Amino acid sequence: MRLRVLDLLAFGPFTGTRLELGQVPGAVDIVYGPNEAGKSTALRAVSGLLFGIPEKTVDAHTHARGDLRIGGVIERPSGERLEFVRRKARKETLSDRSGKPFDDALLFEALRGISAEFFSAMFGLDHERLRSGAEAMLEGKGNVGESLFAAGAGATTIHRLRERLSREAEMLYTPRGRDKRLVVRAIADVREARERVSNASVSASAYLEQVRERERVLGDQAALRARHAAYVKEQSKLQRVLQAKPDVSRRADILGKLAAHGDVVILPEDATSRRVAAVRKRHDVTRNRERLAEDMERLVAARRELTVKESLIAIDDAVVKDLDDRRSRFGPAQVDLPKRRAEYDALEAQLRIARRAFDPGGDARKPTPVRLGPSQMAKVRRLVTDHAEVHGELGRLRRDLAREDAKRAQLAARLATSVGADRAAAVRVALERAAELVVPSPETVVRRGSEQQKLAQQTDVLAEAKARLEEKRRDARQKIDALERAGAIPTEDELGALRNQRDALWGTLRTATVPFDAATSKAFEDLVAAADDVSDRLRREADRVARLSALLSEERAHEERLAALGVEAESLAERARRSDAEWVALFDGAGFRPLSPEEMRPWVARFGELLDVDATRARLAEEIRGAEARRAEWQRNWSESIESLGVSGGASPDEAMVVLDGLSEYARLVEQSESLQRRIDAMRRDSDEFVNVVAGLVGAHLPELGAFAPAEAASRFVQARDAAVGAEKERTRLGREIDERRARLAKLEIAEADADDDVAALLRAARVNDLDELEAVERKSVLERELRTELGRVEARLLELCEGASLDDLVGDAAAIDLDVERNRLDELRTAIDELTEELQRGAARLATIEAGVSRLERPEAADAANDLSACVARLKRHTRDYLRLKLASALLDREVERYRQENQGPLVSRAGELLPTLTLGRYAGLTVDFGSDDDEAALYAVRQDGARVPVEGLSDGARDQLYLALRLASIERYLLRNEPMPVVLDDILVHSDEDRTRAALGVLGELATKTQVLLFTHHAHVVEAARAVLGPAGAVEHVLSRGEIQRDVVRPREPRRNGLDG
Amino acid sequence: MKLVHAADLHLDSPLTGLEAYEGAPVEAIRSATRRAFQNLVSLCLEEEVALLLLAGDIYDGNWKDYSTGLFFAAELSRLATAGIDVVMVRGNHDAASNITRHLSLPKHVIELSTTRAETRVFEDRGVAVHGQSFRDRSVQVDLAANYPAPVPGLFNVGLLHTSLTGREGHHDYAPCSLETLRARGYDYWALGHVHRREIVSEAPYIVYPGNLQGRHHQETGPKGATVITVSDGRVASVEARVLDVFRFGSADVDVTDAASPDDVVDLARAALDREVAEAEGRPLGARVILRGATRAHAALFAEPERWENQIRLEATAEHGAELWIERVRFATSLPLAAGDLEARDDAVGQVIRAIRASRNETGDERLVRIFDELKKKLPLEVRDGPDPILLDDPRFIEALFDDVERMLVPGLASAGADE
Repeated sequence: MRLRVLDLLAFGPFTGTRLELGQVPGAVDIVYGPNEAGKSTALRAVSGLLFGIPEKTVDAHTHARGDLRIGGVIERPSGERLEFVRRKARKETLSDRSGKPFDDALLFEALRGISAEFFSAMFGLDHERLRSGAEAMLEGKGNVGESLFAAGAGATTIHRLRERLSREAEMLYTPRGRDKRLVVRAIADVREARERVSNASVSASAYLEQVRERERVLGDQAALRARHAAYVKEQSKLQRVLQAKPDVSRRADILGKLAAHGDVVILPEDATSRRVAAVRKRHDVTRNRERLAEDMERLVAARRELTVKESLIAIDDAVVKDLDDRRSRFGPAQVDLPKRRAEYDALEAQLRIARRAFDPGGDARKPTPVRLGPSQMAKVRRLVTDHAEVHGELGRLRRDLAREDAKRAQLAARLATSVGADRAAAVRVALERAAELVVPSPETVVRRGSEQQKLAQQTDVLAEAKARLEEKRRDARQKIDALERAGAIPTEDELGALRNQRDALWGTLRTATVPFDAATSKAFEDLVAAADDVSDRLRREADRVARLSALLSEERAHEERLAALGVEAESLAERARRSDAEWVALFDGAGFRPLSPEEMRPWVARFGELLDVDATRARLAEEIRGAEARRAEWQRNWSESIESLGVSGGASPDEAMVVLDGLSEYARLVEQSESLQRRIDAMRRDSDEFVNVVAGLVGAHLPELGAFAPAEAASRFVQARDAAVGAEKERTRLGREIDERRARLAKLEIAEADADDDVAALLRAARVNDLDELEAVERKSVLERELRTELGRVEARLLELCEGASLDDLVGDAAAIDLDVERNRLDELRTAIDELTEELQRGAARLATIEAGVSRLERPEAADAANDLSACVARLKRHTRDYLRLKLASALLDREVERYRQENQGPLVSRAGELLPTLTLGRYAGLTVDFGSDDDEAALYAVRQDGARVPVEGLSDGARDQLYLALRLASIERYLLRNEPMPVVLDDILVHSDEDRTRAALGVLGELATKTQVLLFTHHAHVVEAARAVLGPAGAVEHVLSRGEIQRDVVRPREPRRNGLDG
Repeated sequence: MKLVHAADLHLDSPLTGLEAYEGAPVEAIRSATRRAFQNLVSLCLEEEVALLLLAGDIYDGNWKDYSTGLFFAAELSRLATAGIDVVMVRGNHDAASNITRHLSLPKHVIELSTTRAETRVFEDRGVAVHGQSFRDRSVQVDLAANYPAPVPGLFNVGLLHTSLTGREGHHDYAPCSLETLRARGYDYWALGHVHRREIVSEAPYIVYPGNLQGRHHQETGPKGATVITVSDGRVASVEARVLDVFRFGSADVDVTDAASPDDVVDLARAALDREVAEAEGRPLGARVILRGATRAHAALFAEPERWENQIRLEATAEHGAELWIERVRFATSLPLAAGDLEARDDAVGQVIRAIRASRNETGDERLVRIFDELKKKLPLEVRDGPDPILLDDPRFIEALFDDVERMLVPGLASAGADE
């Protein structure tokens, strides 16, 4: 197949760039692109188109990854063309031009199933690959088979493939490997696992043997346990009897003693303590009773000795208390009385002096001339205080009034003068009765002012408008006059007038019965002519007529407007007059004609102030009248008050205050003296009463105290009475004590009898008569009891040892035994039991071992091991399979490389040999194959002109390139012999060749182009030049590439079109 | 009344072909056949069946571990308390087994005679069981021919270990024809020997229950026993009960459409998901077989181990202990007609032609002679079980060449590509 169109729709830097190829049959398509021009991109596009854009493309920079598109047309040998577009995607990357899916299989078929790798290996050659191919040859040391095979398969790495297979196979297994390869290790693992299965497997016999062993041991154990039990039983019995032996002896002893005692009274265990307690109790009770009797006698004696004065006790406590109180007051009063009398005398002296202060001739003891109550005194004091306030207020009010009067006079003067001299007199008169004056309010004045001002403004505006209109009318008139001066201007009216005349005349003429004369005729004609003339002129001078008409109507309009203005002005004037009259009328009540509102505004304001001052004055006058009334009232009160003081009505407040203070002091002293007099009287009366009371009480009860002073007598009386009361209390207490002791004594006597009964009961119980006998019986009883208790303990111990047998049997056995013999038997038994115990333990351990063994044998260990074995086998199988495959592949490849060499060596080597002289410009004459020194495999040699053979590693870099190129071209030619042609894509393979070698190679490529399509991509202008020279227009088609653009041209010698080349 | 029919227990027979790898559920296969058998006994107890019928092959013939027999007897003793009797015949494996000879079975377990066909009658349950055990491992006579006549009025069961007229993958033992069986006039033939469940006939019922537990990748799908419900002396129903504890499955994946190995891994994972779902919660041992002419072929074969590991890794990540990838088999090819490659007149064509030609080589020319030395070293185990390595078997060699071709062709086709 051939690539006919490479459409770089969106790829690398290209957008919609088309490369049309193979247009000249048999010609090499040379795609020239300097660096950066996109040559490499175009080259990748070829592979991308045919095989898909790789996942990690470097060409998604101008266009997004998903937008990459390469279109193409390929032509099959049959002439069939496939046109499709490749996009960058993971699936369904092909579509036709219209975007519908394109069947992969068609392209696959056209490519004959070759892969991208094969295509690039076989038909895509760049310098790198040429080099690496050459190096692969070197690695293979010129192994001709591999070289040829690689060339044949288009592979540079066949050597590496063989090496890889061989290496991987050897990792798994080598027949003679010393180290354990995977397969060998897996085999060992299998053997080991198999061994484990075998070891873990339990045979039936082994298991049953274990089971039988277990049965046997179980039997042995049972026998041992039986013997052990018998010994233990015997041992136990012997030990019992031996243990019983001492108690049996003791029992016999006790029984003997008890028999010897005979009958004994057994007393209760507490018999002795009960006896002791009873005796002690009897003793204690008797002693207590004797002590109590003594005590009572003492108390009775004490009561007898007490004496009590009964009459004193009968006196009421309150009387005694009163007596004592009076006595305590009596002493101090006797001391205080003289002091109070002296005090009273001093007060009398002060009174006399005070009386003289306001009543010089008066007697101090006479009643005072004036006796003022406290309210009257207070009233006088308040009047004194009010005096200053009443007089002060009146003075202040009068001063205020004078100030207001002055203020009014000043305002009135200013009001009079501010309206002009002519009105001053009238105003002054008017102001005299200001309160009655009717004057407009300031607001009215302001409103009127602004009203008049507005009227004045409107008048001004009107006048101005009128002046402007008159100006315009004058202007229009002037223009009309100018027009009329320029010649009479016919008017419609004029024409109408003429026509009317004419028609009138004509009417006359027509109806005339007589022929008309020439003059008439002439007149009619003239009229006709004149009307026509006017009409003509109207028509002719239509413009002037129109202007005149316009001006006339304008003038009329102005005049009408002026007339209207006149009416308006008149109306305004009327309103002004009316307003003025109203204004003047407002002041009718004032009695003078006002100035303009504007001028009157301050006046009215000031007039307001004047009215305010008048109001203040009126108020002050009223207050003054009030103050004067209050002063008169005070004066009246004052006169009355001081009259009562006994001071003349004309006295000043200060004088009155002196009298008032003297009176107050005197009154206070009188009060004090009277109070003292009362107290002295009371003290004297108390003393007298006390003396009487004492005398009464003493006389009645204790006459012997009559010799004492009253205070002493009272004191003693009280003491005597207290003593009598105390004696009475003691007597009562003693009576209570005696009663209580008498009761206790009765109880003790009963207790004494009870104690005697207890002792008697004890004696009866012991069947004795006195306490000494009782003690003897008690001692015997205790001894008997102890023996019986011990016998019980001994027999209880023996019963424990009986273990089911009777006590008598045991006693009999114990009596019968020989201690030494039995002790020996016991030792024997102990030893035998120890031995048996050990044997049983050994048997148990053995059983445990067997059980463990059996239960282990029952576990699926072998089955687990078998699973392991299976896993090992699985691994061994896998390694073996892998090995077999790798090894077989490796062996096959080795054999085929050799076989291919044998089959293809001749034709390929000879064809490459033919190409080599051309490519090397005759430096090498051909190729030959020979066996190397190690005689293993055949090696390739280049033959020089002189016949010398050069091994591959002996060739220069360039020569080796040429050799590989020769081999590759030869193998492509061989491929083409039997297969459908494929385009050969070469990328600057000639870069290291000099000019001559380049030309030689181009010649060979030209030849190849006749067999299949050849695309040569190059960066180098000299290659293009050389192609032109060598191949000519029929042999090479040049496509020049610059950043995203392509120019196609048939190469012309010397004169290439190099559009778009920008290097 | 219910009967349970099971066969081919192969107790303690290992599960084969499962190579351990990192993350493989190793514990899941431990004692698998034992646990399946425990499930069988539990089934009998739950269903309160009248009899348990075992149609042979309790053990692997060459298995010597006596603990297997002990386990078998111990498990059966669970049935004694429930009054469930067990009737069994020996199969070829049992006849060869060392265990069979020594093991004494509990009283309620009846092993039918090896010398002649006999009948056991269970009057209380209305059942008669006829049968004969294998005397030795290779019984080539038609045992069924001598089975006794049915007992009138009872439900008659024939217990027989046989390959019938031959079953693929199974040795022919106690051969007999369906006609022979039908002619006996029994109500139910409880067969054993064939590991795949099969209802061979419904009038009368002739049934292979299949083995209890799959043991390798050829014993796939659910495994278990058959429960027979008898009503009025006739079969009312025959149903399979799944008892296995580990499942073998096969994910046969068509990867034709895969463009890359990653796509292949995705497809394999999807197929494995389906297999895991079918195992109904049991751990699964799955073989993955990749088939189809795919563009991913070359990349797969460049690193087969890597992609096998990748599939295992993803399977383990997704299913953990539920899934054991037994093996990944690469059976893909290049997306080309094989003829196309073979016809190519270049080195690739030549190698392919050479591979094909090499298969037919004989004698000293045979390339596989290079393996003679290895063949001697390999233990016998590799010749048994799944994927046996049979270097003397022409079919094995042919498959080997197929693999080599698959491996080598992409290698050759890509040889020369920059690596």
